[in-house]
Parts: sequence; structure tokens; C-alpha cells
Amino acid sequence: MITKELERSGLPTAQISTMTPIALMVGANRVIPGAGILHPVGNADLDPSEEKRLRRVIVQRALEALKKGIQEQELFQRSA
Amino acid sequence: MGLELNVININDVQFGELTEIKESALYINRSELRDLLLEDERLNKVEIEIAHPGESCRILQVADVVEPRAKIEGPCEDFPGAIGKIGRAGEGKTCVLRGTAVVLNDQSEAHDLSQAEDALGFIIDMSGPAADIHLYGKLHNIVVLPYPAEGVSRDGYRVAMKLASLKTAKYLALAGNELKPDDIEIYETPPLTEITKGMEDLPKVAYIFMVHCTSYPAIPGEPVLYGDNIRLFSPTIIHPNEIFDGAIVNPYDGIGTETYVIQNHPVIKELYRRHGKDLCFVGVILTVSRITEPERERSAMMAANMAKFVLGADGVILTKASSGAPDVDLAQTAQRCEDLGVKPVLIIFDRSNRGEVGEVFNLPGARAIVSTANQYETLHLPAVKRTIGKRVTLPSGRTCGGELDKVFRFIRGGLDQEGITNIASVRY
Repeated sequence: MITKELERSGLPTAQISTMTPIALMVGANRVIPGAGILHPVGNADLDPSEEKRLRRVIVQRALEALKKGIQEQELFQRSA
Repeated sequence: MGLELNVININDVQFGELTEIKESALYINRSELRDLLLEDERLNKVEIEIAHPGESCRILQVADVVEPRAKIEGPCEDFPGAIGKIGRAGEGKTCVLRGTAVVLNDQSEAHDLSQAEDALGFIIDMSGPAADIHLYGKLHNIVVLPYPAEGVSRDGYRVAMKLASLKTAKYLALAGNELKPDDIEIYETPPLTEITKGMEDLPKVAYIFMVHCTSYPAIPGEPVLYGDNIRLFSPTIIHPNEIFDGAIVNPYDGIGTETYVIQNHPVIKELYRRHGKDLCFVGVILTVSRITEPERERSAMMAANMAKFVLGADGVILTKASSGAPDVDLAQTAQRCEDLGVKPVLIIFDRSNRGEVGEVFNLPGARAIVSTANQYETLHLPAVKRTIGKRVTLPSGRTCGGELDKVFRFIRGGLDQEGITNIASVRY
């Protein structure tokens, strides 16, 4: 919902969410799958350097999503 | 695998010198039970109270409800893995004290009460409008109030109190083991290789049972399935009898279900009742709700695979555990089933307070939904003469024993995941 309002005001918004079906259903246009409900942008179970890599990958993907021109809702899947 | 439940109807519960059953009344040796429960060093005090249907009485901070049951014969101890040795549940004979329940009161700090909206936690009223909507107000309840010992961690207490309720359930039902039962319920289904014999023309129906939601932080040592905490859990086929006979204990954070409901599982009972008549009950798949998208997808896919390619189901009933996030697991699993040609039906409570249906059903496969009532319907509860549990005054000034407005969600048995209540939401 917040995402929709941000976009309505003219700000492209990338949403990092673990509940991707809900994000898509409610109408977010750029959805990036998060790492977990309790920790969308990280994972404390990982080794610290692995975790840092994961955080960077997710945030980077969100930034890439913002740059991309899209015509319809897109789910930016993680490849790693 | 065959299970015989020897049901003894109980119409009164009192304290007495011996724990025994005489003329359908259960007498409890209070100090013997108390001593048994205090063997667990995590507890330093245990109170035991009795509440009768019709009494002007409110039970507060209810963490779980368990039906008193004890094995008479069979290959396992009671609640195997939780309080008994690990062994096969669902076979042999089990004594059931019907008409009673062990109600577990939670003496955790108010802010630690799982899922609660205030310090009252989940309540049971023994009379009045709340007693009408849920079944626990109609039972003779033995309320167990365990208190944590000094220095026991929050999670340590949560496990200890759960075990106390199971031990009580077993202790009470042992009083009935030698008696002639009032009713005998027999549950028997053969393995898949034989189950459809003579039922080739009947539709095959399976049940996908979500028992736990792993969104909540793990409670180490918490018994859920045969004593295991089932966190990284893949969909698993289990015999329905195991569910009736103590293999599954409701998780501490699990709302809308109690161990009592699992022991008397309405969906499984109904499938058994109609097995061989208008359907063939081919089996049960257990799942848990997962916290990442790949885990959810995997679980949904595997559960649907099992339903279609292992159990051979034509249709499947699905229920869920807990609150919002599992809606997605539920819908995804239903969609995967639909994709494979296994027709899904979902049982779910209505969560909105604006007359709309719950959140996540824009997946086209999740079309057939049975409602178990809106969790935000408000009941105005009258003042009561007696309360059992931690006495609190709410910030609004209302006292725990006074008049209250409570929504179904916070009344034990008012929020129902498996369809054991007598209420539903209807849209006109």
C-alpha cells in the first residue's frame, strides 16, 4: 500500500518482500524477493561474509529494478 | 492400523481423596497431581482448579486445552516424544474422558503471552455468550496453573507448562483405563495398497494439515510432532490415527487450534465417517508454513505432488495454522493441487472486520472456501463471579472479571482453524 502511494506521487519504488504473492496482488510494480519473513534483507544464520554478500545482492537487485523501465508488474528473481 | 478409543462420559469433576471415576464423576487427588507436576524443576508452584459448565466463571490466559487420554494398550506411551518415549501412536486402545478438558493457564509476563492482545490472554467463559460459541465452556475443565521457578527462561517455562498439561491429561485418564467404556470409537484404515479396494468408484479425498507456522522464533524443546519442534519440515505423509492419538501437540504460538481439537480433529473424523460411503479417505499430509518464498514454493509443490501422485487424490481439503503469512502457503498449496487436477477446498476463518473475505485469495485455484467465522466479531461478555488465572486490570480500567468486549479471536475456541465450532461467516 505504501508502495502504491509512493508511486502515485511519482517515485518509482522497489519493494523487497518475502510475501511476494501479496506484494504482487496489492499492486507493487517492482517486487524483489526478500530473504525471509523475519529478516528480509539478511540472514543471521549465515557466516558474516556470506551474509554481507547476500545483503548486497538483494539491495543491488532492488536498485537495478528501480533503473529498469517496466510496462507491467515484474518480480525480480534472485539468481544466487 | 487400528485405533480403538474407549470413551468414558464424565458429567462431574470434584477433588477427592483418590483419583478415580465413580458413577461418571471424576475425582482428583489434588496434592498427588500437584506433586507429579512439580517433579519438573522448571516449576516451583502449581495450582489446580475446577470449572464447571454453567458457572459464572472466567478462565484467563489459556495457552492450550487437552482432552484427558491414556493408552490402555498399544505400542507407545502417551504423547510419545513429548512426555513419553518415542513410539508409534494411533494403534491399540486409548481411554478418553469425554466431557472434560485440561485447561492450561499461562503465567508468563503479560508481554510474553503469545498472540495476546492484552494481559487477559485467551479466555474461556463457563457461561454466557462466549460459552455458546465455543465448546470449552461446555466441558468440565481442570485448570492447571503452573508457575515458573526462579531463573527459568521464558522458553523453558513455555515447554514446562506444555508438558504439565500433557502429564495432567494422562494422569486423569489413567483413572478410566480399567473401566468399561460408555462408547467405543474405532478408526481403521489400511495402507495405500489396499485402501481403495471396493471403493474404486468413489472419489479419493486427502487432507493437507498445516500444523505449525515457522514465522515465530523457535522454542527449543517444544513438542509438536512426536516431540520434535518441526522447523525445517518438508511435507510428510502420516496415518490419521497418529493425529488422534497424541503424535501432534499444538504449538505454543499456534492460535485458533488447541491440542483438544487435534485429538478430536473434525475434518479427519468426518472423512473417516464417510470413508467407504461417498468417498475414499486416502490419507493425510502434514505441512508447516515456511518463511521464505523458495521454501513455500517447495512445500506447496511437494504437498500437491504427494496428494496427486502418491495418494492418488481427486480432491483435497486444506486447513492452516496461525495467522496471516500462512494464508500464502495455504493458497499456494491449493493452487499447486488445482494445477495437477486435484480439486482443493480450503477451510479458513474470515479475518476482516469490514465484511470482506481474508487476504490472499487471488490465486484462481483457491476458489472453494469454507468459513469458520469472522475472528473480529465482538461479543459483549458479562461480569463473572469467579476468575481463574492472573488477575489483571486492563489499561481501560476494566477488570478481568468484569464486563468485557472480546472478539472471537481472543476467546479460546472462538477462533477455529479446523471447523470444530458451530459458527460460520455468511455473505448475503
